[in-house]
Amino acid sequence: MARQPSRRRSGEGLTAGLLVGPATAIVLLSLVAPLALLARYSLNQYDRMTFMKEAFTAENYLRFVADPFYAGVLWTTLSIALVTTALCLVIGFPIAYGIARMQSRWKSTAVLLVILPLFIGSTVRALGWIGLLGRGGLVDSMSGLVVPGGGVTLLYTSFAVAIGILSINLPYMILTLQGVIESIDARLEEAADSLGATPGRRFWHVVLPLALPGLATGGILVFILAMNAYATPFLLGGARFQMMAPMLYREYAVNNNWPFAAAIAFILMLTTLSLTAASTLLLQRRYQGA
Amino acid sequence: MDSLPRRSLLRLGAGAATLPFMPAIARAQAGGRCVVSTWGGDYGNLLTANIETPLLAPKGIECVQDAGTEPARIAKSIAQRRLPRGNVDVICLQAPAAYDLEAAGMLEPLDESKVPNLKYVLPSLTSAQSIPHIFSPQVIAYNPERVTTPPTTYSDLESDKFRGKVGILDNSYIWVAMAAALKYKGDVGAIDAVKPELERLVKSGAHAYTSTEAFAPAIKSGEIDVGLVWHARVLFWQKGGLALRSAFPTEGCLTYVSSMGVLKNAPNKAAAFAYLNAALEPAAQRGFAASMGYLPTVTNAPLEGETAQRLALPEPAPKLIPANYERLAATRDDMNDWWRRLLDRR
Repeated sequence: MARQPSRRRSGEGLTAGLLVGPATAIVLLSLVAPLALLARYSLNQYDRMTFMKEAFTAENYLRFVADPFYAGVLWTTLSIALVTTALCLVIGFPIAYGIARMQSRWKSTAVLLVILPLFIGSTVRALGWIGLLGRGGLVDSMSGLVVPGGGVTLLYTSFAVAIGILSINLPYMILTLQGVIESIDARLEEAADSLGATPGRRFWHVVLPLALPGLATGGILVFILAMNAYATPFLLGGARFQMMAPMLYREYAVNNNWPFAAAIAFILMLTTLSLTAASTLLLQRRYQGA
Repeated sequence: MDSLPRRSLLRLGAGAATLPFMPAIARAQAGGRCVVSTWGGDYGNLLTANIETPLLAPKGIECVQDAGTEPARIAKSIAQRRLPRGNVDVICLQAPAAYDLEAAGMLEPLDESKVPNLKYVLPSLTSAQSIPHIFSPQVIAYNPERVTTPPTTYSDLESDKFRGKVGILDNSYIWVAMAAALKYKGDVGAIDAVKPELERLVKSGAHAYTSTEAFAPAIKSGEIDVGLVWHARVLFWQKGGLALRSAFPTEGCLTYVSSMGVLKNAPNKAAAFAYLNAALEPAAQRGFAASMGYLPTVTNAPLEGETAQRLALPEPAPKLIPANYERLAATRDDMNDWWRRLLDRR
C-alpha cells in the first residue's frame, strides 16, 4: 500500500521528463547553442582580410569598457529605456485600469484598439513619426501657424526616439497590466471605499500593492524591448544619435567586425539581464518584508 | 531463375533512387541552376527582366535569386567560405565590398576565356575578380528653386551660402571623404588626410541622414539645398517629380560601381561565368540604364533615344575617377570609428 504512491510518482516523473524533453532540446539547440557560439566569437580577434581570427582574448570587452564613447552609448540606451519604461507605467496604468474595470460592451473594442498598433511594424510606425515630427511635418506646420516663422523640428532628437519607443511599447504594458488588474478582486476596492478611504488612498494602499507584480512584469518586458530597440533609434534618432542595437548592427554588418559585435551583444544582454534580475530581487524582498 | 528477379529488383531500385536527381542531371546538361545573391527590389527585378529571362533562360540556365541586404549576404558568404561547395554562384556587391571579398581570396579570378565580354569593359572600371555591372558618377545634387548659382566644386559645400544646408548620407560618408580628398589633396586615396575638412563640414551644420530615402524629403522641405549623391539617384528623384539637378564637380567625379563576382565555392561556375557575361551584354546594359539611370560599363552599348538624352553627361565630359579600393579598405575601419565619434552629440 505504501509503495503505490512512490511508483506513481516515478511514473509521473518519466512522463514529465518525456514531455519537457523535446521543448528543452529545442531551446538548447535554438537559443543556448547560438549564444555559446556568439560567446566564443566575442573572444576572437578581428582581422580585415579574413574578418575573424581564432583567439582567446578579452580585448573586445576591454575595448568597450575602456572607451568612454561606448560607455556613453550604453548610458544613452539605458536612460532612454528607463524613461520610456517609466512613461509606459505612468500612461499605461490608467488606461489598463479603465479597460480592466470596464463593464460596457465596448470593452472588447477598447482592447482591440490597444492591440491594433501591434499589427503595424515598428519601421512603418517610425516612418509615420517622421511625417509628424520632421521639417514640414504636422508638428512643424502647426507650430509655424501659431508662431509665424517659428517651426519646430523634433525629428532626430532623443525626444523623437523616446516617443517612438513609447508608442511601440505602450500596448505591451497596457495588455500586461490589464490582465493583472482584472485578477484583483473589485470587492477589495469596494471594501476600502466602504471603510472611508479616499480614491488616492485606495489606489496607494490597495490597488498598487496588488498590481505590483504586474507592474514589474510589464516594466521588465518594455524595458527589455527598449534596450534592444533598433529601427526606432535608427530612423528617428538619425546619424547623430547612438544606441546599442544600431551600433551593434553597424559593427557586425558595416564594419564586418563580428568579434566586437558579439562582445557588444553580450554586454547589452548582461546589462539588461542584471538590471532585470536586480529589480525582480528588489520586488521579492519587498514582498517578503511585507 | 531465382537471381533474375532479384537483379531486376536491384536495377529497378537503383533507377528509382536516381529519380529525384533526374531534373538536376537534365539541368546540368542544359546549363543548370545559377544562384544569384543580390539586392531585392528594383535591382533584382531588372536582373530578371534584362539578364535572366531574355539571355540565360534560352541557354537552359535557371536562375534563382537569393535576395537580401548586402551586409547580410556578405555575412552568409563569409560563413560559408570554408565549405568546399557553397550555395551561391554569383554575388552582386558594391565595388568596395567586392574588393574586400577579392582581397580575402573568396572570388574566382576572371578573364576573357571565362567572360568574353570583359574585352568591352571600360578600362577605368576593370577589376581582376569582379565585373563592373553598372556605374554612376558622384554629383552635387542641388535644388534649382533655391540654388540659383549651381555649385561647381566640392569646396562650394563649405561656402557660407550653404551653411547648415548640406546633406550627407551617413552610409556614403566615406564617398564624401573621398570627394574631399580629391579636391584638397588631389588624391582620392588620401581619405584620412581630410578629417579636418570633414569635421569643418559637419561642425558647420551639415545634416547626416541614416537612410538614402531621407535625402529627397529633406531637399523638398528646404531642410537642405545641396548634397553629394549618385547621379542615378538624382535622375530617379527627378522622375518622381522632385526639383533636383546634378552639378558635376570640376575636380572630377568619384564613380559608384555595382559589381558582380563568382564565389570560389560556387556550385555551378560555368553558369556563373555565363551570368556575368550576359550582364555585360549591350541589351542588358541598356535595360538597366533605361530603368535605373545607371550608365553602361561597356564600350559597345551606346545609349539611344530618350535614355541617351536623359542620362547624357555634360560637355565637356566630367572626369570620372574610380575609388582607390585598396586604400579605402585600409583606412575604412579607422574612418568609420572616427566618423561615429564626430557625429556623436551626447
